[in-house]
Amino acid sequence: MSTSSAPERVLRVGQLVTRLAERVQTGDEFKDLWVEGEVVQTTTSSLGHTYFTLRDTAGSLRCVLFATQAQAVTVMPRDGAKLVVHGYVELYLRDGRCQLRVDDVRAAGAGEAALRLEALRRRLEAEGLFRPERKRPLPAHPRRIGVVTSPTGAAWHDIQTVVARRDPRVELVFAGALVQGTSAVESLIAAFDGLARVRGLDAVILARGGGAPEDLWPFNDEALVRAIARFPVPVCTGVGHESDTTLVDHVADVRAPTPSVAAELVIPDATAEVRIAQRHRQRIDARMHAAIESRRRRLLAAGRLLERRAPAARVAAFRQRLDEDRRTLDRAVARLVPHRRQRAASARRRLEALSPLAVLGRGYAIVEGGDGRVRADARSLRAGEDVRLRMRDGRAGARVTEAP
Amino acid sequence: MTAQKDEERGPGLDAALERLEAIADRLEDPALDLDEAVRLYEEGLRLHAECAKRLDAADLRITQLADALAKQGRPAG
Repeated sequence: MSTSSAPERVLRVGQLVTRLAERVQTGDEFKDLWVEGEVVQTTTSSLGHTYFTLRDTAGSLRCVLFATQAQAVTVMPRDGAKLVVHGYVELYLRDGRCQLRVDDVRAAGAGEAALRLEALRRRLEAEGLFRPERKRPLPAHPRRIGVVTSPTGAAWHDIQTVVARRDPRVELVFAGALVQGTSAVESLIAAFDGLARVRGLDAVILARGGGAPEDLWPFNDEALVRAIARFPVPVCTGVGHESDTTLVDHVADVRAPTPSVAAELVIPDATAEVRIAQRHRQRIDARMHAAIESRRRRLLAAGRLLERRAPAARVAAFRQRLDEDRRTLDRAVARLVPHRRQRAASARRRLEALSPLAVLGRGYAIVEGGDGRVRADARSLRAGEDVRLRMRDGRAGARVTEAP
Repeated sequence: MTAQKDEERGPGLDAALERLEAIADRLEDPALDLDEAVRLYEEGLRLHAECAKRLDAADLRITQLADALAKQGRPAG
């Protein structure tokens, strides 16, 4: 059934491809296009160019996003993502295939959803939920901080790292939640409700690591926004990367670009504070010890004085005086006795001189009766009575032969 | 507890110390009556022991507080 059995006009393939390329690339038909489809076969070259295929049920088209443009886009093509890309069609001469040179990338359906989001934002703003005067300042010296984030994400780890570095005294109360997917909103609100019952909470960090804009949709939910607006203590958000702003960022008291920055804003760096406190502490310690030491020295001195001036010394002095008195007394007494002795001797001499016995020396005798009494009268004697004669040098017995 | 008990008991450490020093001064007076000297000496010895005990207690309390604070200040984990 061939009608081309006799070629009349033969084109070289290059000529054809060039003519096709001219047709495609001149004119406006295939320029400034927004194309929607699902991303497959994404690869990135070492130079940072991203190659991918956009497809739907009917067809597919190779696309390239060069590194220079890739820097400007907010969404990167990933396999499975539904995207709307902007660019123009070029025909690549070497293999005769068309490809889309991409210079902008958006999430598919973003248009409609963005309109809804914008409407919600306006409504909440009109209510005053985003007003600056509603924003509460973060506590200067937080002690207990609630953290709403995924238990498995890097955000929780990042926050803990910051707290450990800046002020380990701060207690973190973890309230785990799903941060993406259909249950995320419910889970996040439940986490906030849980934290609202925690006593002594100073602030809450709502954190989630970076993600594609469609992953951050729970953070644009009205119910979550209202839960944050009525939360009793200041809330700081650290959701996504810097270029993504969600409604929770608007309603939050403080907005940080990342979980780490959120933690840094909420938890002041205490190292300087701690250093100052330590210095004060050392001064107090030094003063306390000085106070104790000075009193010890006084006590030691007083103790020594007490010993030196103890009454024992006084008693010793008294004892010495006593001894001296005693000696004086003894001397006095000692002087007394010989004196008396002398007096006694002279008295005795005098006595002896006057004694009747002295007469005996001159040849007299004293007569004593048997009863030892002196018989001075002859009439007191009886004949035959035995008497004693007391003479100068002793006594002698005698008998009365004759009595008057 | 011990510190509180100490405070309840008699005058403060400083007052006791001053009294002790006053006693030491008085004992220097050679004209002091012996009975009075003995009485003052007895009081002095008692005050000296009391002051030493209180100083030791204060010292211990300070050490304990510093230790407790050191333990408390240590980061957990």
